[in-house]
Amino acid sequence: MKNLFPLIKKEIRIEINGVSVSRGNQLLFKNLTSTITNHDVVIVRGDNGIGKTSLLEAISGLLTYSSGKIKFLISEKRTSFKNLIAYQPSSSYCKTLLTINEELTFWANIHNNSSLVDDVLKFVNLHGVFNLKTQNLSTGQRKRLEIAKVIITQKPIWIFDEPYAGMDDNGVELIDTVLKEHVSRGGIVILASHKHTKIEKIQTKIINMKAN
Amino acid sequence: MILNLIKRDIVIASRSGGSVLNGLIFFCLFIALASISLGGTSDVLKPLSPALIWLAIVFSTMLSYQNIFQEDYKDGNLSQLRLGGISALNICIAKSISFSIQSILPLILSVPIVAILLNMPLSEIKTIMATLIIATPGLTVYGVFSSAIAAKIPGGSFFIVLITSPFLIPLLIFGLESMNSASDVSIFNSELRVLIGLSLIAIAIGLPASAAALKTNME
Amino acid sequence: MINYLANPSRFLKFSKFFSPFVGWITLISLLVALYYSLIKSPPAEEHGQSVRMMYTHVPAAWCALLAYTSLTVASMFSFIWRHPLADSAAKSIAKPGLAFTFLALLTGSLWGKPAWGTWWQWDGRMTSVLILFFIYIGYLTVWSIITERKKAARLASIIAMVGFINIPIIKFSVDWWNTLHQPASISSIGSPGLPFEILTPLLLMTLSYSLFFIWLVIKGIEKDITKMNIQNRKNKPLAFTEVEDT
Repeated sequence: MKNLFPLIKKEIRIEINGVSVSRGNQLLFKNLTSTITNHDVVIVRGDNGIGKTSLLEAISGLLTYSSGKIKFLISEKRTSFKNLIAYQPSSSYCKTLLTINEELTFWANIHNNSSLVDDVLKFVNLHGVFNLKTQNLSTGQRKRLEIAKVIITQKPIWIFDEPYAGMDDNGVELIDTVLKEHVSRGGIVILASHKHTKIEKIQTKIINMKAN
Repeated sequence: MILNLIKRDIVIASRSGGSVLNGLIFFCLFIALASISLGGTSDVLKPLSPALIWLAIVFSTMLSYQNIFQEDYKDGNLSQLRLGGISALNICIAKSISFSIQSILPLILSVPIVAILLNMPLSEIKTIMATLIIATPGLTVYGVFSSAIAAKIPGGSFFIVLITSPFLIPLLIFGLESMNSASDVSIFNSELRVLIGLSLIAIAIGLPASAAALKTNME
Repeated sequence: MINYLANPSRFLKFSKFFSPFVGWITLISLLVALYYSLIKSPPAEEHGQSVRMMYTHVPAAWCALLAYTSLTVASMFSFIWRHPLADSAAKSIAKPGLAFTFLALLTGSLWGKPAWGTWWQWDGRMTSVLILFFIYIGYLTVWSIITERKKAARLASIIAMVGFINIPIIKFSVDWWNTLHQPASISSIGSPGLPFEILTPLLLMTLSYSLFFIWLVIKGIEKDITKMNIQNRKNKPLAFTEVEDT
């Protein structure tokens, strides 16, 4: 398991300064300021539709923010968000006609980690069904594949949108274990969630979003 | 990297059990209906056959344009590729190649069969295949371009056809013109050279434009 | 001067005095031009009174091309520098541009029937203007379908620029196509040595069309900036964020 969670030696910082985010022409929120660094667990809370997904997308670099600045620094040097972030949206982005193995191998190749595919599949307990097409997976299996895809990126910042949705207690346990391991090795976890799980024991920041 | 994208697209297309056939069926249907409505006699159809085949290919291709980026945008794959550091240009290049293989190649392979049904002489069949193959980059890239612009629009097929049509018309014109002045000696007449030029311009301008449009949609 | 006007509020102040000025000049020049073209100029020998259609047709075609060129320039500004005024300008140029293209096609058709006996011909000039018409429609459709303003502006500018590169290609291809199939419809416009009585109303009409175009564009930019200002003022955030450190 050790090699799946590399030790993150460098200091990584996300500096969010006065950031406003809009969807279309509607302003969602403004003036978000926070600094996130190694070992941080940030939980975003708020009602449905308040803008949690937009906030996560803005941090991931997938949504352009309308004012303010989000800086990513490794050992004090500016860097692009692309090298740092693994983002798991609330819905799965698996290609339904590919098998588990093909899907994971594809993304492993994108991130140049194809040697880890077997180990990751064994770790999330999907190695026995690696020839199953992703359209035939149960909710639990799908979530485990999503975790596998995040682990295989080997990136330091993990961003999850509603990771516990639809999971039974075992599934929640697995997610919490994985997140704790990543954080203990120096990683950063940012997640939006309605559920209250054991991850709250190690949370370091809460971002509350409330209607104006 | 580009090879991985192409391989994945082709694997998915080959397993999708029939969506690739949509274009093919439309192609054959168009030729069949056109021949029937024009009377079906060889003296009417023979001079019109290059035009009918070209029109059938253009329309069938236009039908498939919508699938180029819409699914990948909707399910979040494009965003994930972007996070993985794949440039929009590489995505467009990969999509162009996989689109040519999965949508245009089947059509072009059916042309000889259809041409025989329209009583086209062998030399003409050779020429039309050449013009179609040369025009393929143009047909592909402009489709990728308008699909990239319309990626976010659900049901944007009307919009895609509208935007692509001004760019496909020169390809159509020169493709058919080069057939008219083709001789037995050489098919490389000046119209064909222009067609080659048009396809090259499509690649040189259309691909960066598609990449820019894709990036804009993902911001 | 462009840099000076590039600030939206300065532009509004400028257009407040400038656009009525342009409007009045347009009206005056249009009246003079109409007088010359409808009354003072002589009817042509073969075609009779219908040649007066030329005075509406040629200026319209000229304005359509002028519009597309300025659209491309505005789009380049919009794409490279992401300037919001360039976005407004591009949008305000395209609508009159579409109208002038349609007018050119319509008046050409109405002129063609009495003059050459046919409503339409698939020759070089007419087909490439028709294609230009489709490009305008595609361009404006981007603005109306895509709701996010910045995205619509950028995608539209990409279309305008790619379209511009294809205009010479299209013109070239349909001219070629035409020479192999049909004789070109003879146009007396390109020939040198137009008599003075015909040239004057033609130039006057072209001038007044162009002034009208400029007036429409300025008015359009004015409307667009005002709409944007109203929208910005109304924009309150839907939610607020609180960060707690634990």
